[in-house]
Amino acid sequence: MKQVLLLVVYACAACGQVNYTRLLEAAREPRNWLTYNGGYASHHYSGLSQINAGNVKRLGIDWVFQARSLEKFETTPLVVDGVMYLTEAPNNVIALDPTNGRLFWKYEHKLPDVTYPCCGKVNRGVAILDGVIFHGTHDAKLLALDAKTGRKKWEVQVFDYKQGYSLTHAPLVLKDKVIVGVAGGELGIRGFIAAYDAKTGKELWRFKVIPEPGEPGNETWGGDSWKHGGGSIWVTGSYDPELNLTYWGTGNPGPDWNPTARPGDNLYTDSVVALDADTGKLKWHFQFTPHDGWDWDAVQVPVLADVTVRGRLRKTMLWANRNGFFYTLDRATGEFLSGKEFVKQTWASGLDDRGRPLKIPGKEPNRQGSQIWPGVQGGTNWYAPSFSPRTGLFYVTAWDDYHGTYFAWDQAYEQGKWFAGGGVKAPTPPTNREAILTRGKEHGYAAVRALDAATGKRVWDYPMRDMSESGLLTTASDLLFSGNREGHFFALDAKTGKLLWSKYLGGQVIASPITFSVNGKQYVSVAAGTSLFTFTLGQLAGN
Amino acid sequence: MNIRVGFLLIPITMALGQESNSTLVNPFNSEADIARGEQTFQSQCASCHGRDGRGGNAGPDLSTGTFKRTSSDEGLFQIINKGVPGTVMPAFPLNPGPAWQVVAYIRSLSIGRRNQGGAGNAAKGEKVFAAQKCAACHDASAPDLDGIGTRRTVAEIRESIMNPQADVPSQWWRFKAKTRDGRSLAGLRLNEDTYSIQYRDGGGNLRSVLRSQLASFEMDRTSPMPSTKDKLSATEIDDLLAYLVARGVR
Repeated sequence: MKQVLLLVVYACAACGQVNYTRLLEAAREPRNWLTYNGGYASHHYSGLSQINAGNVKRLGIDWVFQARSLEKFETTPLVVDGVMYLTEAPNNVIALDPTNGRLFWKYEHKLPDVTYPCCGKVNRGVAILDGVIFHGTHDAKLLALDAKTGRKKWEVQVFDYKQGYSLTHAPLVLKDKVIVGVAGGELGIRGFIAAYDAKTGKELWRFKVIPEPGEPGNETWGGDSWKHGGGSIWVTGSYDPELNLTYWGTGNPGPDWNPTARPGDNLYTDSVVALDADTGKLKWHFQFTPHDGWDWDAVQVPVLADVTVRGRLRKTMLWANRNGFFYTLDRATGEFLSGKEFVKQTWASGLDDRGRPLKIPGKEPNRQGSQIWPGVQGGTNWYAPSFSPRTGLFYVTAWDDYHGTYFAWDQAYEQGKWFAGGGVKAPTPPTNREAILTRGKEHGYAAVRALDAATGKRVWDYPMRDMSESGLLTTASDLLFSGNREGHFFALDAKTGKLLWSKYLGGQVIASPITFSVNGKQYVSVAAGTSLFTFTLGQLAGN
Repeated sequence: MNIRVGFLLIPITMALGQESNSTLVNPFNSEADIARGEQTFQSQCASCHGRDGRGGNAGPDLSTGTFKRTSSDEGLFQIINKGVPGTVMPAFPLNPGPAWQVVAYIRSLSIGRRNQGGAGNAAKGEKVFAAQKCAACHDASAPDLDGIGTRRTVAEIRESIMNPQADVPSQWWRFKAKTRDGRSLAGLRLNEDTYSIQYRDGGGNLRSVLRSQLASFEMDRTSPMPSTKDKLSATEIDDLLAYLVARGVR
């Protein structure tokens, strides 16, 4: 009995609560996965190395969590001191034992009959701070749940969901704040990013992605087009504590495919915005695709890394964009350092010396259809890239030789209705539709692609037969984990791209893998199909 | 309008005297409803399903008159309102009237319906089908022709008969391969991924092969189907088309 008591005391001393200091120093405790993007710099990199190139062949399935939901399973879990927190579509939050998959609690959020997510009732995860789990919902609420009980502590209505707004991404917590943005870029919303007091839910600041009349940037919208300008937020941003800047990628302008309806650059859509974390004030912005007509959201994970560019160590941001170009930016100032296409693209002849694309005339969507590379899902999309400080390489899930034919038409705005102003025809569907795959060259292909972080030059490539919507994970043992639409989950050598291990899970991976350790044993987890699979070394004969 | 909307909330199949099949029948089925349904479709559905409803990028072809997830008007109505879990098809919370009008419009796109009334004689066409020995392939290894008249327009079927090489979809490509240990493989590719190929060989056996075992791999993108261009008269082709349009439609 005494021993048991001692064990309990020890366990609690080791765990404590996840406070801001622990989040700042998350890299020091690789046994946990404390934020959606694997740390404020969003490297999707783990310091764990028990699973390595020599033993990864012994990786086997340890346990499986089966979601009670048929929706696309886009969750990336957190693991905190022996508890895993994940979401189940549409808006359930679950705490389970990461060593065996057994549930501790489940919070089920009751949604109205009608909500307005554009493309599936998905959710991507949660955040944790001081014993509280934060979660955004399809009816545009931000919830705070007690991490021990799953009981709701508070909720706030972020916006009126009936106007097409929803929350789908995992919140970002920093200092005493919870930061979220709103989705709805196909429903004529006006995107924003807002910070809330983590204790009370009180709104602290709000940054409007679409500036209103009188605000800088509104002049980049012809007429009243700013009113339904889109600029949604649906993937978690990053944070640089030294600069006190939080970085977020913004979504497409609306209507998606009819740019003539909104003359101008359409700021701050398709951009990365650097906001003062205390005030939400814009420090700088960089727009990847001004006056976009192809639905190329800049909703990618901002990867923050210090990289030597042309002989000088810089605080950079690495960004493989949906528009087909890879960018290296100075993250203190937003200065464009270098850029290069990383997949086949036919809409721009290049980038100018400030990183602005040199658009080829006549490529924008029209009534008859305009065929462009890349297709609507872009050269990559929201699936998390990875940066390994060991290899210095930037890794991305790329869609290459992939095209679409883009149509434009006039469309009037109606509240709660689709507001896209056009459409796309393409041989490759944006998400897995069929169980059968018989591909031709017209379909393109996906690859895990390793790029030189300073120049965007390709270092190695792991091509796949089908497309992939999987995020990436690298480890201190130079493994890279990823999955794909075919239903495979696999490990590559992060230095060379060589395949080291693969397991067929039978359902597409539309999430990022994570790794963690409990009682000295390393695990790897990934959502595939409608289940979350967790792997360890040496389990189950036959794997 | 409000009266009609209220009306649909009642299980009207009873009122209409239908039996066992207890699904709702579309009460918005006039020509005017179809026209309004088209307007809604163009605004809300065409981005993904295409302006012509024959499929786009995200959405499947809706012109076949048969659907993967439902066969009833009520089922289509429900899909519009609730979406399809696990896909990018969201719920479109339209009012009941406009949603039913979209159903009416989708039904009007039905190729099978539009294919009716051709010049040919189906009974004579069946004889042409037998004489040309079409079934020798189409009953086994070539595309299933049952219901082809709901999936393809008459013009498209005519093109396939006259010029089989014009458009051979990738699921009908055959391959030849040699393994590293010297075996020859050939067949119709049924499925594939990064590591393997599933196929049916000449003997009808279902097989898998790992790409890593192959020394060579060659894809034949042509169709083995002979052209009937110079073999059949215009009348015979019309008859064959009439037979194919009617074939397997229940």
